[in-house]
Amino acid sequence: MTTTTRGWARSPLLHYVLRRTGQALLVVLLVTVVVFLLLQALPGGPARGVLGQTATPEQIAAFNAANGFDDPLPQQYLAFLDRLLHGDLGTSYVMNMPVADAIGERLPKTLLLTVLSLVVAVAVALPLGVRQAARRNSAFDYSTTTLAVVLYSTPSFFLGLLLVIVFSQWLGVLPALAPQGQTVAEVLAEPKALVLPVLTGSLVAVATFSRYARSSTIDNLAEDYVRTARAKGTSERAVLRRHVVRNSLTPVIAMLGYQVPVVFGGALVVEQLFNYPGMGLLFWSSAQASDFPVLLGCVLVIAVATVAGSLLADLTQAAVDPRTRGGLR
Amino acid sequence: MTTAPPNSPATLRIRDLRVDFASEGGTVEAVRGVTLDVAPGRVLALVGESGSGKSVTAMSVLRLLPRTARTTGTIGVGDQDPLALDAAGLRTLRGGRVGMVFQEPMTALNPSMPVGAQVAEALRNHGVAAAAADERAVELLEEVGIPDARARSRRYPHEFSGGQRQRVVIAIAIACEPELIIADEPTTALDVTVQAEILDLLRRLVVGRGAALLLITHNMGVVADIADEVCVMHHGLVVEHGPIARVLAEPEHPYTRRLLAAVPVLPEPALDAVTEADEVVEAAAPGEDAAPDALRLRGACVDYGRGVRRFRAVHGVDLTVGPREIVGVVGESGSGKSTLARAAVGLMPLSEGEAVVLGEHLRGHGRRVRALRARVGIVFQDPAGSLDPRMTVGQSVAEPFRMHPAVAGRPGPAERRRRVAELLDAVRLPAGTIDRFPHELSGGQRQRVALARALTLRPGLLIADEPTSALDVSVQQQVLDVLRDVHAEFGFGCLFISHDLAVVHAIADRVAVMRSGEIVEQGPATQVLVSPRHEYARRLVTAVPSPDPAEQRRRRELRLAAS
Amino acid sequence: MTTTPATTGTTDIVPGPPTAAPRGRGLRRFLANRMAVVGLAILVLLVLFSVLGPLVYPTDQVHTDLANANLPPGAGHPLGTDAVGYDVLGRLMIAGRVSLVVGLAAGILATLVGTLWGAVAGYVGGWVDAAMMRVVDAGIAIPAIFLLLVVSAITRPSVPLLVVVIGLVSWLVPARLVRAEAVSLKTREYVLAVRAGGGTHGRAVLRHIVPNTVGTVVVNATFQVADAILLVAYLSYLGMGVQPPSTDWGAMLSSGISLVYSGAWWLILPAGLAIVAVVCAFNFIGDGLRDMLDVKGRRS
Repeated sequence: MTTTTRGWARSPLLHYVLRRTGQALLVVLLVTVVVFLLLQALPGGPARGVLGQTATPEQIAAFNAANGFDDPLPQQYLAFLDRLLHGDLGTSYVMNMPVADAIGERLPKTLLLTVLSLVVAVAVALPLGVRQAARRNSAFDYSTTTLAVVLYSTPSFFLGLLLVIVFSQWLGVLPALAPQGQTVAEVLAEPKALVLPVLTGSLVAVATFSRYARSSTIDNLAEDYVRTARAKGTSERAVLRRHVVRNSLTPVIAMLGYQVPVVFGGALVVEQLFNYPGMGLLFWSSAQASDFPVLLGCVLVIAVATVAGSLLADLTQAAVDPRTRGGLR
Repeated sequence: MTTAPPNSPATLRIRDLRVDFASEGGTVEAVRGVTLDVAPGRVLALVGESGSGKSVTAMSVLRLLPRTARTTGTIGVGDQDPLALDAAGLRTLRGGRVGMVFQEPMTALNPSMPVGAQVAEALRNHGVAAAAADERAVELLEEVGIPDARARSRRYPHEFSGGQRQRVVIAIAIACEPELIIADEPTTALDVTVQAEILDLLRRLVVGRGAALLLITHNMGVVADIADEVCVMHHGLVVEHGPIARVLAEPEHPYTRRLLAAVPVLPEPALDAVTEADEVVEAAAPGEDAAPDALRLRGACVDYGRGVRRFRAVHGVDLTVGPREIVGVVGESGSGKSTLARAAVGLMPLSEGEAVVLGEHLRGHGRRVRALRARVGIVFQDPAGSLDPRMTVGQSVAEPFRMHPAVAGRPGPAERRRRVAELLDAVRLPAGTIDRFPHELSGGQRQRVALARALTLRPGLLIADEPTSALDVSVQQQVLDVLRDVHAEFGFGCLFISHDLAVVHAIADRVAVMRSGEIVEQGPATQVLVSPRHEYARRLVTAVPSPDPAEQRRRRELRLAAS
Repeated sequence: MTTTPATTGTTDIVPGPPTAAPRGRGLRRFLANRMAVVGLAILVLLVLFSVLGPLVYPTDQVHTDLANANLPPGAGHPLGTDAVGYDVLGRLMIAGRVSLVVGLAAGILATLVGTLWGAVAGYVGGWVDAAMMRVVDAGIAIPAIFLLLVVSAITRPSVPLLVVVIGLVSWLVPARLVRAEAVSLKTREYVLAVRAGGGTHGRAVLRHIVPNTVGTVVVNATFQVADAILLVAYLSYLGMGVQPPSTDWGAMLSSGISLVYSGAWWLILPAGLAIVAVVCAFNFIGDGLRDMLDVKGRRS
């Protein structure tokens, strides 16, 4: 609590924001090191990738000399970092275009898919989790929590496949192929085709989020302040609505920020399954074709998004919680 | 059982209340037939040790028990029986006719709701319109003594101290002018000076409104301070019931007698008596024999955190513990007394000053320091956390032999077991305890095991950090007796930390009073705790309630005169 | 310092007999969790099916038999045959071995690495802790499946390599959990008592901290195995995991997808259900163990 009154340190929240942001930048830097080292570990190094499989050793040596690939590793790393800072993620082996452009074209579509899935998942999971907690140990609670474990344990490709078999093969009501449009607007023009990909993406997330919401609500229902609220004549519904929900769901919503890597991982499978032209599919086809600049570019983008997501989660939580809003720890 | 004949019809009538809990180990009978009455304008104290069923009795009035509870008997609040009410009826009772104050003010309020709204909610639950409720909430906060109530009603609980939060909880309890207030250990979590203020407030607000107060407490001093009548509970039964003057002065039931005998009592404060002999006593006390002092602190400072967030918890402390001396350190929460204890044995680094243990500096990590530490024993507050749950009692007590085989004289397994058995005997634990696990023991037994472990290598210095604070009074008395015995037998210097002045008075030779990281007064126990000179020490001493109602009335006057 | 008899929450006012040995009580708690028992039964059945099944029901899983490809379930082939004529039931058995072995080995490897890393970071603290945890953050920032695909693109993995790689991308969560546990355990009074009494750091860590993290570690290891089985299934499904003629359930499902639209349900359903069953089994067992060992933390 007690801090000196020197300058910026006077606001503990600001102190926390700065410290947490510094940590995040450090993590991003570490990720770039990992990606750089992976680049070095590629068979034949970057030269083989650029020049193709038919390059002679002489050509490779010349290329390495010309592009600074003979320099000591730290120096190469700094050059790599410099290129990254200028938005240069390298050039695709296969598509003959800058990696940044390839990702830039696909990323919005992936974001559309994942945001839709998350919205659906949150809208279902949070009320479900709170209800499970409120009716803890009832038949409803047992059956839905068991179902959640089953859903969580189901690989999304299998789940998606089952949905395709049921809704598009048997019932024939929904297409098995995702929208193939080039832009977000074109994708949105085929809402029916989006249903199965979004559903597949959200079902697993429902299982995860409802589990969190349930246990967080159960923890809060055991708190002393709930007893105080009951003792002053507050009805059970108002106890949940006015007191518990806010305290128990704040951490769950902040947790969304930590889900970025999970969400991208899910998108990879869903896009592959429904042939949705987003970043996940790009990543998968690049893996098939050993298009390393694209792969590593995607990894970098996702890593930065992950770090930003958890940073945002921590800061949101600090800002929303009245205990941290005024003075932190 | 005597039932005091009330002049007017009782506000709360409990008849043959029984509560069972279904648990993994079968049914537990927590309350086994309790009958009591509380009349309007009267304060009934329900006292007993943990597990006596006093809190369960109180909670059952508002049906706040967990679902595993099965309640029978009748309860009457005015003309209503809460046990027979439906959900809507129960809601009008809760907060409307009965208000409740809980033990833990730190957790009793919703952390994400402004305190004013939490008070107003009680009013709105009982039909007051929103605007009027908000307005009345501010008045109530003013009434319970929250300064600048209008502005602060929009603040969140974490911005209030423990005592102020308890005031807010009281404001919630009295919001709808209930005819009965139930206060469950309302001051147990608070410092003794704050406790006195909260008790004054409760008495003024409840009795002043003609409401009845059912006060649950384990503290006989609190009983003597504000109760009219007292019910003593033991194993789910009321064993004695009567006016406090009679029960506290001439207890009839053997259990009540035992309980009262176990309460350590601080002698009457004699604030005017200036003991001329002070200086002489102080100079003569530390041993003039050859043995080095057990502990010598000079200008000791301890900091938490680094850089701009640094916080000095202990500031320039000089303290000496003689070779066979017990030195008590008292102070309220946050005074730095526990930090001091930890720093004294190197669990926290000193940022300034020096600590000399048994004549040697306690610095660094080398073999010399490890050997020195072999001669230091330590006992902590929490009986649940003081022993490794995965080790048997024998393993825990014998561990120092393994840590310092050279000091212990390299005992073999049989010899180790024999010596552990001796130690357990010294702390008066049965021999069979040796193969038990901590979770099989009671809190008092665990503390005695912790003491045995601290004595394994015959220490020259024992640090006892609130060793009895989590225990019931009768258990506390046993542990203190054991400590006194082993002190006589083993002859170590002891630094005894406690917030309880009476406990320190019962055991310590000399006492130091800490406040905000500094020692404000130190000297012989009787002098510091009976006729302290420092203003804060005086406040502390007069705030301790005495279990003697007449004496307590005198202290209350002293305290009110001083403030 | 708080100075009160600890009574918070309504549960503490309920008196309970403080006896009953932890082992007996724990086992009873595990058995009381019906789904945990179901999970254990499923797991035992699947292990028997994969390990002993081929002895009872031997099939040729080496030579392709294109003459008998894509047969529907019927006499001689209870679950039909796949696109190259392997018997699906028999293939399910040998695929199960790979899934289980990779999952178990990778889960255990991840747990060992994570426990060590977390315990050291948590106990040492200070800047060592900060640096070690930033490495964990960086690891978590790169989703496992992406990293695995990159590695598979560099070199097609053998089963042992698969174990090592999956193990090395999955150790981050246990590392975080064990660190949190170690940070809290090192301030426990029995650890402080050891240090104040001149005990070494080694004694504090090995005799007191590590044994007391066992509950957390065991529970998390169960979930790690579940996740590792899922991960290898994903990888195989994406065509970058176990390579023919060896196979696992994910790879079986993947190779059946192209034919599923022509109604060949037996190519995906048995393999898919096997994955769901085994992952469910481990998750249910983990929940049961958590009740049994009284572990507070949730999976993350």
